[in-house]
Order: sequence, then C-alpha cells, then structure tokens
Amino acid sequence: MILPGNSSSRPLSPLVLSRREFLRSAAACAALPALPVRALAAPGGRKVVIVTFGGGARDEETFAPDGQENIPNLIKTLLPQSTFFGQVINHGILGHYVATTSIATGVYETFNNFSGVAPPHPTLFEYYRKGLRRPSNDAWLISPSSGFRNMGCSTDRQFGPGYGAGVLLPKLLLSAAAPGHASGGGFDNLLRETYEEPHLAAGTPETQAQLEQLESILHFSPNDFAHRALTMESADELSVYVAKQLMTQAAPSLLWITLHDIDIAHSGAYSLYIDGIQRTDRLCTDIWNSIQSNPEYAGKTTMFILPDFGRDSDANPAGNGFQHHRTGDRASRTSWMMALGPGIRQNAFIERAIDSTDLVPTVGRLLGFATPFAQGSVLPEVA
Amino acid sequence: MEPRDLHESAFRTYGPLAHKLACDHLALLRELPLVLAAVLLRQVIVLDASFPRERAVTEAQFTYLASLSTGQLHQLTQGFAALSLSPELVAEDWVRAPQTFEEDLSAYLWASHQIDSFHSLATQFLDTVEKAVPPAPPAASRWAAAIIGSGLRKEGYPLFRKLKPNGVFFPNVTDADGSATILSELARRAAATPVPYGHWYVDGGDPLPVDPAAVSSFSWLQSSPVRDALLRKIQSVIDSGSSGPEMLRSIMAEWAPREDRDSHYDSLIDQFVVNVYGGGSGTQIFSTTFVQWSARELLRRAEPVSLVTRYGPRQRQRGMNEMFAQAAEEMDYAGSLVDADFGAYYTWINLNRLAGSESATFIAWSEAHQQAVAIGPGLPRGAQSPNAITIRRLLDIVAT
Repeated sequence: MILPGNSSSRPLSPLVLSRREFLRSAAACAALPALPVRALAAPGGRKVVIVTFGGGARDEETFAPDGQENIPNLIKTLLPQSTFFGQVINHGILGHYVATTSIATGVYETFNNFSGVAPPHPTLFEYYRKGLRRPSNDAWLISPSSGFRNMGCSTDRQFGPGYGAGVLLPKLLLSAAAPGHASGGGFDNLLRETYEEPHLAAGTPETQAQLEQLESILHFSPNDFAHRALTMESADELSVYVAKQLMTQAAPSLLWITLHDIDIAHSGAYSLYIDGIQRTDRLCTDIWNSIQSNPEYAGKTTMFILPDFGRDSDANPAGNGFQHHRTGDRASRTSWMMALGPGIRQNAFIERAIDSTDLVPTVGRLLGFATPFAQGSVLPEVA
Repeated sequence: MEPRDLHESAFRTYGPLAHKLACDHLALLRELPLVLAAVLLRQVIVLDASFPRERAVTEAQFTYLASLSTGQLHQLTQGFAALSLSPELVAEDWVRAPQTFEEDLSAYLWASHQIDSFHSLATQFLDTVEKAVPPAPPAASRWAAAIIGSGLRKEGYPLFRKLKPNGVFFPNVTDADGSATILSELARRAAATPVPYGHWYVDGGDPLPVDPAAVSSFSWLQSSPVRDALLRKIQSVIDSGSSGPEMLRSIMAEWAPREDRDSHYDSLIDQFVVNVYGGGSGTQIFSTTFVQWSARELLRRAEPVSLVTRYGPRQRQRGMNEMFAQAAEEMDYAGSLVDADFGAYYTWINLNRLAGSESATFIAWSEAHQQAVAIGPGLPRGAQSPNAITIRRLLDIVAT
C-alpha cells in the first residue's frame, strides 16, 4: 500500500516506522538423538532442497531490469532450467523468523517474531517424517542464527519433537570448533549477526552438542572445519559449506537452507545489501551445481529457491526504501520462487500470483505426504 | 484507560508546550478512538523537542479536528474504533508512554492481520486532514545538495544511475573548491530567507565551517561524544547478556545522554542528533547511514528550505559486535560511494514529498569522479552536458 505523498510528516507514520524487526536469540538447542548417519532413501528416491534467498530482497535489486546484474547466475544458469513464479505474495508478518517459519508450516503464523519460539503448526519436516515414516536424519534444517533454531519442529501434539528436523547452526558449530577465537580470530565475518540481532555475550552455546554434530553428522574435525572456515567470506558461505557436507555425509531427502546475508540492509548500507544479493546469487547456483554433481541427488532432486519476502518500496514514505520491511507495501510483500528439477517444466514463467504458504502442500504432493493443516494450495505447475 | 476518562492530570509529565496543547484539546481527545488518541499523543508528547514546522503541523491538525462536528469527527475516525485491541493494549499507559504503546500496537496489528486495515485507515485520515489543512508552502524554493566526498571512489561504478533520468548529467565537473562553493550558496540562501531551522548542513565526517547563526548543522565527527556514549550503553547491554535484541532496541530508542555533558548544538539540534543515533538503524556504525537517515528525518520533520549533505568514508564492515565496540581504522571507500549515491537518491525522493516540490532544485556531486547531476523545474530530464563546468556555474544553471 502506498501512503500519500507527504504523509511521512504526519502522525501515523511513526507507527509504521516503529515496527521492530529484531529476532531474539533463543534458548539452547535440543540435542539430536543418536541415529545412523545416512538415512535410507525416501520412497521413490526423490529429494527436495529448499533455499530461502533470505534476508529480504526486492524485485528492484533482483529480477527487475536494473537488478538483474546482481543475479547473473540465477538469470543465466538457473532461470532457463526453472519454472519461475513471478509473484509470490506473503500475506503474513514480515519478520524474518516468523515469515520463514510460516513458509515452513504453510500457515501464516502470528507468534511474536522476536520470541524465537517453535511454531504451533506442524512443519514440512514433521509432515514428511510422520507421513512417510522417515527417520530423523532424513530431514535437516540449516539456520543462519540461533534465533531460527526452533523452526524445525512445532509444538503440535500430533506431530512435535518426534518428527522434527535436525537443526544445524553453522555459527554455533564454528564457535564450538574454535572456542575462544570467535572474536579477533578471523571468524568475525562468519559469526556476524544481523544489525538487529547482535551476538549476545551471554548464552554460551552448547559446545558439546555442536562438536558432536560436527564429528558424527558432518564428519569434520573441529580443526579442519575452523581452518576451512577462515577462507570464507560470510555466514551464508559457511551455511552452504555445511549444507554440502551434510549432503555428502547424510544425503537427507528433505533439506532446508536459510540464507540471511542480505539482511545487512538494516544497517542502511546499500552497498552491503547489494553485496549480499550477489553472494546469495552465487551460493544458490553453487548449491544447484552440488546437487547435480552428487550421485545421491543428481536427477532426483527438486530445488525451490524463494525469498522470505521483499523490502519496502522507495516510493513509500512510511519506510526508508531498501533498508527495512516495515510498511507491508506491495514491494515488501511480493517476491518470486524458482522451482528446478526432474519433471519441472524448464524456462516456464508463471504470471499468476501465488502465496508463500503454497510451498508446503506443493512439496507434500511432490513427495507423497499429506499436509492437513497447511493453508496454502498445491501448485499444479510443479506437483 | 479509555479516552473518555482522560483528565488534565494525565499530562503532568508532558513538557510545557505539550501539556498546554493536550489540555487545550482535552475535549477532543476524549472523543477519539483509543488508537487515534494514542497516536496523536505520540506527536504531542515530543512537542517541546520538535522543530517549528512540526509544531505547526501538529497544532493545525488539532485545530482542524476540534473544528469538526461530532458527526464529522465520528465519520472520520470510526474506522480506528473498529480495530480490535487486546485487553493488554487497552490497559497500557498510552497517555504517559504513547511510544511504547505504539510499538506494541504495531506488533499486535501485524499479528492480528489488521496492519493493512490500519494502513488504509491511516491513508484516508491523512488525506482528509491534508486536504483540509494543506501543508504550508516553503518560504523560498527548496534547494538541496548532496556532496559525495573526495575519497569516495569506485571505478566503473554507474554513478547517479537513479538520478540521471530526472535531470541533467554533468560528467566533467572540474572544481577543487566545490564544497566551499556549495556552502557559500547555502549561506547566501540562509541570509536571503532567514527561517529558523530552515537551512541545514549535515556532514558525514569533519565539517567545513558554516555560520551557526544562519545555518543549522551537525556532523559525524562533532557528534562523536553522543555516539560513543550510546555505543558504550549498547556494549554494556550486550555484555550483560540480560536482554535480547528487542529490549536492546527499546533501550536505544529511549536512551538519553547525560544532561550535564557539553554539546556543540542548541537543544533542538542536540535532541535531533540523539534521535538519529537512538532511533536510526545503522546510524551508530556507518557514517553514510548517519547522513542519509539525518537528511531523511530533517526533510520529514524540519521541512527545510535548504539542505546540504556531505558524505565521507564509512568504516569497513566487520562483526556487528566489533562495530558496536569500536570504530574501525580501515575505511571502505568504494562501498561508501555506493551508499552515498543511493543516499543522494533517497534525499531527492524525500525532497519531493514536501510542499513546493514542483519548484525544488537538487544537485548531487561526486568530488572524486568529477561528475554531477542537477534536477529542477527548468532543467530537461535525461539530458547530458559534456562540457567542463564548475560548481559555481552549475549552481547558477540550477537557479535560473
């Protein structure tokens, strides 16, 4: 919605401006049960990888004409192979944690974005594991920060912890692998939290649980992991590195990677926002190439790429353009989705508007499980 | 508390101007839906720290609303009464702490899927008020200049891409003393049309001299004591581990520096700078954001007749905690150029939101790239002037 021309100097604008975007660091992560590392393949061998082009990116800096230079890999490499949904509308709360969780539950969640709580509605992971009787190591979630750690499992009594996803928090893995070196040890760029989620000094990570994940799930030695991390540019690069290792070592059939570098835009530095988009573009293609080169995934994996939402329009006086996503205007609610893989039409553009909550029922249809509480609709172009 | 239960005593914590306005319009406030009353009080409570233009807008708005008949007022505001509120919200002290209420209301409206309805209501309300009380025209044609400082350079970067279609691009600006020339023009305008808080200069580094009697100004360098004090506060909160980001944000927004400190500025400018640091996102760590947000807020609040912004280099990005803890010695000149370019574009957008925008003129100039763009009512759009030009000549062209 576009507010009138001079309304930024009027009394109601501050209310819109005051929308807080903070995510709160959550409580300690639950330890994973000891299970065989590699899951048996899902029935039919089909796999799904979901990547959120996360942190909020506008069309203007991505698929609009001026923005395409920022996403050369999506445009040249992935778009021709994909069915592209040009209008994905997020009708929910435009906070990263609650919005990303809503995409994962197929329901517009209304919990406090800053709370870091588990969603009340079952997640995609729970539907998948319960519906297809899959073990816990067949569904994984890689999250950008501890604030997202509870996204993999709901509080729904019919589903809940017995069916949730394994959660990897690469920043905590790195903190555990290089204790005492988080600051000043060359890892600051990787451990960087978003502007609005500074890394709190208290709340020491559960080092033992992280080390166990490193060694038993990812088969990394802490030293090697920390050494390799030194070569990386950002937290999202670390996440993708962990994702690729997980794919090699555990080959989960359902994998969700939440990228988040782009959210640096909240600092107001346009150059860093653009850097984040360009890096995310490169990482998405990197993930796709890894899928194609991994025999466990090649030829049987559907990948979805979608932002959690956009950012405010330059034209909306209640916002400050790219910096935030506080107005709920069209630019901040509208994004896109790309689907690639076997059986997906290539080079297809879907003009009709779809909903952020459509992903869960679509993946359910694709893999053959029910998603009874999801509010979205199956996308017939994909499943 | 419901608005109908309001009494003058409820405003005893307000400043003198705010207290008077609230008491003068107590009967009106009692008639308003709670949401609207709280939102209006959010404006009233800061009246003593507001710029003259803000005060005038607020007072005119109350005068207009008070002039409406009961039926007209009901028709204009009934939509706000239809918004569903939680008992906790209604129970909040929205009179003494309207800002806190506003933040909680905003979160509630999002969670209850009423935010779009609220936006519609707000738009209708603002349209009606603005139609009845049109914004005052500026005392002189508005004029703004964005200087992208000498160290900011990025080879191959398409500078002013957003601005060029709206004016004339000058790719060959040769002027070693252009910043001083622009500030001279600012001083000339301030002398020609003296307006309290109407002529501004914001610098993202070490400021050039201006006459403080004629021009209101502040800078990244001179305001460092405020910034450092806030950063120390942020650091202490982070180190304590006692609060999450949400509380940290609230602490920043409500933070006030010690009253006995020295300040370069008068009280209104001083409070404005505190608001830029406490309420702005990223203003505490990046000088480019500090300048852009300051310009945005000045245009929104002070509605200046003249505004000069000058961007300097910002620190290179590091871990967020590190940036909160201390300023980096290493600067990101290329990134700063991109930030400043977009900041200049946003200043032009915000300039166009003000009354009198049809006669406003704007220039943006990169010292390092020796390029400028000029936008104004007498200038063609999407044009280019390849000849070498000085800043003085460019200012003359804009003025004609």
